[in-house]
Amino acid sequence: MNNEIWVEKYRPKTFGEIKGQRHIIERIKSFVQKKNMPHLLFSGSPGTGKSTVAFVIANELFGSNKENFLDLNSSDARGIDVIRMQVKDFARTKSIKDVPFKIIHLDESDALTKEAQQALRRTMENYSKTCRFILSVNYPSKIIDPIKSRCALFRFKPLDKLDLYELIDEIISKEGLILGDGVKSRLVEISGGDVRQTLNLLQSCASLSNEVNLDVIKEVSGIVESFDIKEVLEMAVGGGFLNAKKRMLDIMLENGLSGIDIIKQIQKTIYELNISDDEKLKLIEKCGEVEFRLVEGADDFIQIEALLAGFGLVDRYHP
Amino acid sequence: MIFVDKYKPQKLEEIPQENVIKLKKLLSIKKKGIFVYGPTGCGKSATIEIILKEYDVIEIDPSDYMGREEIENKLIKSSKQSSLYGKQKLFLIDNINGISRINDKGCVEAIVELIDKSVFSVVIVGNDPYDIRLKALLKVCNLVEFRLVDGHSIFNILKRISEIEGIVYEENDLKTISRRCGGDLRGAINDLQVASSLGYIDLKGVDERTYETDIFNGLKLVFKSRSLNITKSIFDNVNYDFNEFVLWLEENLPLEYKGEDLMNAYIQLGRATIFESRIKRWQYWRYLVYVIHYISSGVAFAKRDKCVGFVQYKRTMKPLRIWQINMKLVKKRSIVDKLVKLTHSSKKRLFKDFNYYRLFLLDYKDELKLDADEINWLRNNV
Repeated sequence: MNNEIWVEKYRPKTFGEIKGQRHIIERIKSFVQKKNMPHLLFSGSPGTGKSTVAFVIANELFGSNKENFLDLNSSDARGIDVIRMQVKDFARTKSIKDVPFKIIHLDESDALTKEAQQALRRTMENYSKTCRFILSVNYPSKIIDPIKSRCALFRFKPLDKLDLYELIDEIISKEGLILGDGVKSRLVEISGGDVRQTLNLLQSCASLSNEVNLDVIKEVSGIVESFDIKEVLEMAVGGGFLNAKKRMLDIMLENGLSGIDIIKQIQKTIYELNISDDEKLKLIEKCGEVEFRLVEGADDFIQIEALLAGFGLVDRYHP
Repeated sequence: MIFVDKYKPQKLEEIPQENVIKLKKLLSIKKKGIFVYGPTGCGKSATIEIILKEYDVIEIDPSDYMGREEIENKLIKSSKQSSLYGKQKLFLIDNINGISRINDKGCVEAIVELIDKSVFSVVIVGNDPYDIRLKALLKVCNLVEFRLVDGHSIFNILKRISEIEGIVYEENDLKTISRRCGGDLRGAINDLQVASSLGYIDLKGVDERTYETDIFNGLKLVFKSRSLNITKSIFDNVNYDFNEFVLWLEENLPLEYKGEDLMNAYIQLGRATIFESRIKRWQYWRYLVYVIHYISSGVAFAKRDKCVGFVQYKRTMKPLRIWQINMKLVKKRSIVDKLVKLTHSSKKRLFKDFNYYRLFLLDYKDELKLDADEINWLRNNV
């Protein structure tokens, strides 16, 4: 298919094409050359290349024998059933053609339940002759120790500015785009080193105009960041609890965000509020309490409401 | 013959509810889903009995099994055949709030399907349409509210009955009965019969009706009191479920509590939900005690001082809002389902990051096999 979304179109196919993560690539390349590798656990924030590296490994090892590679997105298929049926069936059958082992890539493995992980543990061990696992996660802490100890751990870091610049340059020349001043650094700034988001932003800009300048970016980022947590928090601090509560419910529902998703953003945003540092500390402490209770199984929205009510207690700071 | 049967209204004009007219109108324009609700004894059944004389009624209520299968067999199958008696057909589902959580699985879905498929009206009667279990019904039904009957109307009816029956009465006694019954007309008529059994009215021995505290009263007790004696027994005689009460608390807390009290109350409420999820996780039902504790006493004691003043409590809008937004997002979801095949991201992530893709998705309408609706949605949302 020649008409691909850029994220897929420009996804590296070989080790040589991968930007950044040099130390990791070196090690993994040597695994592939020796045609032997342990189970791998990739951790790192989104858009740093975890899945890409998994695909490249499969590509380099299997070439066109795609049937030796199973790519499962754990957050869409995360139940214990998938691990017990699909994964196990794949792992225990012999690899096809002349390859040393099959590979299963479990993307977003943070989403695997504890039970599913327990079930996985045995499969990883029993069938390691025929099959190797690659697990991608955002936080390695979500993976139970027995699995971690069976894997080689690799931490992916957000891409360097310069690596991203290089990538952007490559794309604009291939797509025939013209970039205005300061556009590159703004792109990187918005996407926070996330390659996927950088490419999506760039493609969004390109869909509006071939000449991408700061105005275009501004328009796109206005659409991309359709909600503004800071605005809601300011509402709550300013005594507008009812409005803040309403807006927050809408944001959570419209974007499919869980309580944990939102609390992460709230916690980051607290630093940007126009209140005293002491108050910020208090609020972050409250965030921690709320996040703890969420993990304990409390109702998402009620916890966020408790937090918003806490924001209403802040003495506003007038500089 | 007991009074309530003897003096059962025969004509709609006799029923002290203004929405009777609305109900009649909805039926006359053949609205398919009609949800009649209101507190006990306010005339729902009486009204429906009168109206239904004109129809060939097929009825089901919680004394039957009301699972999916039963509804399918009893109602849906006949929803397209016209009546044998030459009258219009009408499906009546009585006391919908009495369905069983466990044994009547699929009941609400089946009723929604019935409303969808039926060519005849489906009338649902219940106390509370905002029961979470009935959420799906709300969107396919027109609501007709019956209110508590006002004391004056009750008084007049009692007076009329007393006169016909030749009961010796003092107006004050009738007023007392009217007041004590709390808007339950049927209860008041029963009380009159008991009190007048000696030929004159003797209120001794007629208990004040201890009504199940309804949600508003429950809220009031939690918000206004600060005494364990009161709060610990709030749930002794109520029949609504805790989840629903939590929703109501959540909605109305900010109307009563302010500042730190508000935050503490939400924290108490949050603790209740933690225990609720622990019940689910460990199937240890004794935790229910703590759930109840937190949503009653916990919330009540989160305030430092008693709240004074009258507050008009609001119906919780959350389930409705959730439903509205979900409706709005149906297309987004279906597009995400297709987009998943073109990227290596999960649905969950694509849904969250949807705005990053939105602008250029139309360029891929062929690859994504978007249908006309989805294309329109994207056009209107870019």
